[in-house]
Amino acid sequence: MDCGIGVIKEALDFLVARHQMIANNIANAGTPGFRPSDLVFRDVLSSRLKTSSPEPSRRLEAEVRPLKGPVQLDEEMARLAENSLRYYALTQFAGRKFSQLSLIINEGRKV
Amino acid sequence: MSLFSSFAVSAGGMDVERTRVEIIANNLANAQTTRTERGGPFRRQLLRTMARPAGYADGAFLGGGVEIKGIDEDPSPPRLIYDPSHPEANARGYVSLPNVNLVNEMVNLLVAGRVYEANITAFQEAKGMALKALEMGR
Amino acid sequence: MSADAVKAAGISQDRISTQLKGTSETSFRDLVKNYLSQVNDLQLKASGSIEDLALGKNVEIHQVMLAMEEADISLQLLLQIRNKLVESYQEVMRMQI
Repeated sequence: MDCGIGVIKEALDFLVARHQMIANNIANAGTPGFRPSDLVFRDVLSSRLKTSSPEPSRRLEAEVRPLKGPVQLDEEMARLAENSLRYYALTQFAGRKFSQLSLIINEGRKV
Repeated sequence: MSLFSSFAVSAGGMDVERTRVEIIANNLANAQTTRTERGGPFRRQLLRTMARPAGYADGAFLGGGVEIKGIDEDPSPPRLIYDPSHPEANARGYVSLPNVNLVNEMVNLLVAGRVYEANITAFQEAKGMALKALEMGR
Repeated sequence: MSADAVKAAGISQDRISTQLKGTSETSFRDLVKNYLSQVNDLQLKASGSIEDLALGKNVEIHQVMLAMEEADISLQLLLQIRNKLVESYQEVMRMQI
């Protein structure tokens, strides 16, 4: 059964990886010569040669984007906060989605 | 790697900064030490750290963190102060004082403190995320 | 009387399903079987991820939660389908022929 949370799954994985990257930047804030990085979504336009449709298909891929060293602690803190906020929001949404599905399926009756 | 590995990364970062603070405190305490066991004035110490290898592959972040590689001595020369009455004064009346610059050390101390706090925040965010994920069950 | 009714119902069910087979690829029975195995897969996936978490393997908490919720929801749907099927069967049984 497709619960319609495929995008949420991928996004949550992405946000976890991004957090780890930010945590790594912060841990190495005092390491000389360290270049911090960020994780971003990259819009990939790929044309599928073998299919009948000539339309290029769009995918979202995550890629590592190197930042200018040294580590800017304030920026990292800001991205850290934004990142976990998005994570919270998505988990909330997923939870609600399941509640709704459950409601619809059970029509108010207990199984 | 799961979110749990970021705990280790943040904890390692805290370790590093805490050790750095200890070294700076030692530098400050010995800022006027003109004679050490090996002879000569106290030499400023610095922490040598290295980033652990990290990478992003298959939708997951691997590795990361920071390691303490050792404690180095600042190779810059000692400060020479003219004071012929000092017991450690050399033949020309100069005393060698440690190459510790108080202002620098204080600034480094503050920075280390901020980085330490930032690591704590990263740790707490990771924990928050994991706990919130647990609440996804209705 | 009721035994005949059951038989009659059984026979017509088969005839209907063969007719359906003729019109499309999957019969109702196949659909239910399909869905049963999907639900089973989701259950296995959920308990697998829980096991991974317990053993400290590379699994995110949100992955475990999502797997559990999906398994739960699909099971709920299955149970409701079963309820409906049983209800309709009982309806049919109550019919005076």
